[in-house]
Formats: sequence, C-alpha cells, structure tokens
Amino acid sequence: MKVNLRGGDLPLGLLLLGFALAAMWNSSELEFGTFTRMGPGFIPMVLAAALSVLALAILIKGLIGQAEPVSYAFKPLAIILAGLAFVAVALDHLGLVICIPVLVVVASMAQGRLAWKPVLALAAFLTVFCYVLFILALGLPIPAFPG
Amino acid sequence: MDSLSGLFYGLSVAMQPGNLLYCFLGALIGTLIGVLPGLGPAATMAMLLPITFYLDPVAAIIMLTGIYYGAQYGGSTTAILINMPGENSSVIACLDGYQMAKQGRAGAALAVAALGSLFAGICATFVIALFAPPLSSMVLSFGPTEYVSLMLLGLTALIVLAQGSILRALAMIVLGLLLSTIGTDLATGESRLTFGISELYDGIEFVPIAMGLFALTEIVKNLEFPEARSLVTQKIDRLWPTREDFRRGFPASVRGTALGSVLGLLPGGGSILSCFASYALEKRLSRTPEQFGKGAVEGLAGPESANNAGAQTSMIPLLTLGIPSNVVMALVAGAMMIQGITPGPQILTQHPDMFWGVVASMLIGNAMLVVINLPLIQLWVKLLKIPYGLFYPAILVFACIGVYSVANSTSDLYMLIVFGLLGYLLSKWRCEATPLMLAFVLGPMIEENFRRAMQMSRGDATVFVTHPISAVLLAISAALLAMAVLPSIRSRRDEAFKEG
Repeated sequence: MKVNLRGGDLPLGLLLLGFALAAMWNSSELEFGTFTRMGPGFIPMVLAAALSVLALAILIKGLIGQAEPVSYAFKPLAIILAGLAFVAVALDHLGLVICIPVLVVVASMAQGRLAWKPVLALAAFLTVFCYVLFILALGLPIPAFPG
Repeated sequence: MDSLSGLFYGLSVAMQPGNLLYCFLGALIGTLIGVLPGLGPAATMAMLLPITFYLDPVAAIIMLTGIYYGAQYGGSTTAILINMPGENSSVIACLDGYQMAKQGRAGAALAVAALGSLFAGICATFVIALFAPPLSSMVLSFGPTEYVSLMLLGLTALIVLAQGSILRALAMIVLGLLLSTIGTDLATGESRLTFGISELYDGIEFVPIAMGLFALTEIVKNLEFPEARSLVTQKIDRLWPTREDFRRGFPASVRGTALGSVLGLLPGGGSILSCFASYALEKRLSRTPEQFGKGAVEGLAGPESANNAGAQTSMIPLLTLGIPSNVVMALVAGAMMIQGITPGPQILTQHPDMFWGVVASMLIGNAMLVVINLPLIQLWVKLLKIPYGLFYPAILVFACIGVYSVANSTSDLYMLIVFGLLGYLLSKWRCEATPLMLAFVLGPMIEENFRRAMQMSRGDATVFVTHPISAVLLAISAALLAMAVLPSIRSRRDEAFKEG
C-alpha cells in the first residue's frame, strides 16, 4: 500500500508532537523544582518541550518540502501483531502448549499463502522443543498447560 | 595486574570447562544467527538474556560476547555464497566476496574472510588488554559532572554517525530519553508519565523495546520484500587462498584491524561503521580501484577484519566507562546487571575474573570460530536452504518466551506489540532505532548524574565548562555537531555511507 504523506514527515511529526504534548501535560502535574533541587517533573518537562520543538520542525519540513511516497505492508504487520496479542492474552490461561502452535499458525499466514503441512510440523516441533528446553530443562516459570 | 599477567590469569579462567563450553556455545550460536539472514545478534541476545540469569556470571558474559563476534564470522559466509548479508555488518562482504565466489573462488573468499577476522580478533583482544586497565583507573576519578559530559559526547557521536537526517536522529534521541523517564522517580519515589497505567510504574523493560524495535521490525520488512535466495555454488573445494591473495589481503587486514579497533570505541560505531570505513579506505589506497566490486581481495579482507575488531573493542567503553556504545553492548550491560554487577571502571578491581576471563575468552573463541566456520562450511550451507517462512515463526516463539521471562508477566508482551508497531512505522519514516535505544539506556544514568552535579554545584550550570575534563568533552561534542551540520562535511558523510 502506497501512501503519500510527504515521506512520512507528517505522520512522524504528528506522532512525536502527540507524545510530547501528552508528556508535558502529565509532567505538569509533577513538581518542577529548581536547578539546585530538581523535582520529579523537571527532566520529563524539559525533554518533552524539546521533543515538541523537534516534532514541529519535522512537520514544517514536511509541509514545505517534497518527498517520495512511502509504501507500507500493514497486512503482515497486523497478522504478526495479532498472533502476539493472542499470546499476551492467553499465555497465563492456556499455557505454552496452546499458545505456541496458535502463534506459529497465525504468524505463518503473514506470508500470504499457507502451506499447512510444514507449518503444522513446525508448530509441533517448536512446542515440544520449547516445552523440553524451557520447562523441563531450564525450569522457567512459564505456564505450560491450560488451567 | 599488568596486561600480560592479566591475560594469563584470564586464560586460566576461560579454560575452565564450564566457561569453555559457554564460549563454544556462544561462538556456535553466533555463527548460526550470523549465517541466517533476518536474525541479528541484538535480537538473539535479547531472547537469551532471561536465561543468562541461570548461568554463572562469567560464563554468561563470555557466551554473549561470543555471539557478537561469532555473528561477524557467520555473516560473511552468507554474504559470499548468496550475495545477501547474513548480518548487517557483512553488507560489504557481498560486494567483492560474492564476486570472488562467482569467479569460482568461493573457498578462497571464505578463507580470506575467516582468517582476516581471526587476525583482527586476536589483535583486538590485545588492544582491550592493553588499554582498558589504564582507562578504567582514569575514569574512576570522574565525578557526576564529567559523566554527564561524557554521555552527552556519546549521544552527539550517535547523531553524527546516524545515517540520514540529523533532525530525525536528534528526535529519536530525545524520544529515547523521554521514554527512559517513565516510571518511578528514584529521587522522590513519585511516578512519572505513567498515565495511571500500573504496568508502567516500574518503567519500561529494555528487552521488549529492543525486541520490538529490532526483531519484529526486521521480520515484517523481510516479509514485505521476499528475496529469492540462490546459492552461487554447491561445492566448495579449495579452502585456501593463493599466495597472491595473501600478499594483497594481509596489509588490508592490518589496516582494517587498526581502523576497526578505533571505530569500535565510538558510540553507535562497533562493527557496522568499521567495515564501511575500511572499504572506503581500501578503495582509496588501492592502485587498482576499478577492481573493487569485481572481486578485489582487499575489499573483502579489510572490512571483514574491521568488523570483527570493532565488535570486540566496543567492549572497552562498557568495561571502562560503564557506557554501552551500541545496542549489543547495552544487552551485555543488561546481562551484567541481572547478575548484580554494575558495568563500569570498578569491574576490573572488583570482578577481575570476569574482566580478564571475558577478554581471554575472545582469543579462544576466535580460534574456535575458524574451526567452526571453515571445515564445517557445508553444514552452514545446508542451513541456508531452510526457507524464511519456517524460520520467522520460530523467532517469534522464542521472542515471546524471552520477553515473558524478563519479569514473568504478560504485560511485557503488550509492550513488545506496541514497540513492534512503533519500530515498523519509524523505520518506514526513515528514523533509526539505534539512537532511540541507546538514549533509552543512557537516560537514567544521565539524569541521575545531572541532578547530582547540579545539586553539588548549587544550581550553577557553569560547572560543566569550568571542570577541565568536562569542558574538553563538551568541546569535542560541539566540534562533532558542527561537523555534522556544516554542508561540505555533510555531503562527504552521506557519501561515505553510500560508498559500496
């Protein structure tokens, strides 16, 4: 997908400006302090202010300059992040033996076509491998089974 | 302890069976991930970081450093055989190494790369042994003022060395510093920039950021541009360079080692910058520059030596100043802190077994790597036939386990997702993740020392220029920044990055 937003200057500037404003708003509630005895809000406020200036500079550059359009691959990104989101939600409840195969199958869809046989074989192999290595051998405290 | 007896002591530590085993494991894993494109040393080490907690501290650091320089060996194999860098720092090996392979001299190219790396590895080990001890005793006298200036110098060097827009590099550094302030303020105990999210009270963990910005972003970019891999040659028969290769390659290797040893010290430097600079240097010095890109031995031997030397000497800032100069070193610092060891000048006196053991293990590791890489080359060639489609789901699985294990909580997995998304967008918008990451690591140190320095000077900011060492460091920073901004030098900087 190709999007022309001035080579990313506009979304980048807006994103950074958003971060900066949120940080300024949040740290304005903290004590600023003085040079000698800085409060907890001193450094975040100064950094956020600096970031807002840089973000504005990037925005202005984007508005006056010309740049190549940027092409994005949101589909593989979304599929992979969805696979990870499943693990984040489910790991504590369903354990590794469910999460690993689901992640492998979901993530494999990011290539476009899904060759079931090798993917299922990989899922099975990784599940057994991780269970043996991380749970049995290293004894990491990761939930292994549902429940 | 002087350097020589230190090295002997270190050898006795590194030769202990357990340490020898982890040195070998590190070299093996390093070669493996070096050969496989799409998985770098930073992501690998981030995955292994939680596991190092269960190891002996010396063994853990020996293994992690082995992965870093091991990846320099493995990366060139892929570059030479399939014209694709297995590792970012072997981009350069694609140029002349692949051409040599196409001319039927793949074996010679592999041997030149491996022997050049070995030579550089041995020299760089001695550089560390010679220069780190005096440097760390000097740094012990640094106060908070000097530390702040030193870290500012480091961040400035990052801006200058970053590719592309200086404005963007600066923005990434400030963003990294800002992210590092999230969590509980150490001085007052108040929570900052948490927006009421309880998962943020302890700040953001290093591992999910590194994994998100580097590993996830890399995977999505690889899926976006699937590359056909074709092996140039199936059989590699002659693994020994000719006399002519030696005559031309050796001086290049010496120059590459010297250049890499120096550039490895710079923040953001390490192996990648070293090999680019070495290629540019060899091309300039050569009487036959037109041969470069067509299989010139110098263009392979120099950069391959430089990247290995740079990988190793980038340990010096960490061991002497406690400042990681690149993302990989930041992970080594993380591993030390997991073990309760603060990186910095006191390592040499408080943990001499770690300091000398790790340094000496580099000698052993480099020797092991030549054996792992040359006679076993056919094994690594087979690995290259594994399709990427079966490879990246495995990275994701290990990434999840690694990130979860940092604090045994799924909240770090959500962080991984957030930073994966952010990392992808930033890379699309031509922002580099390295300045962000290093600023994030240095942030708490800068803030703590800055606040302490200001408290000691009673709010007088001029201490930074009235303390002589601090003033010199700041002057160097200012000069660097001026150099980066001045148009004439800027265009040469861009040219240097384009070289090759």
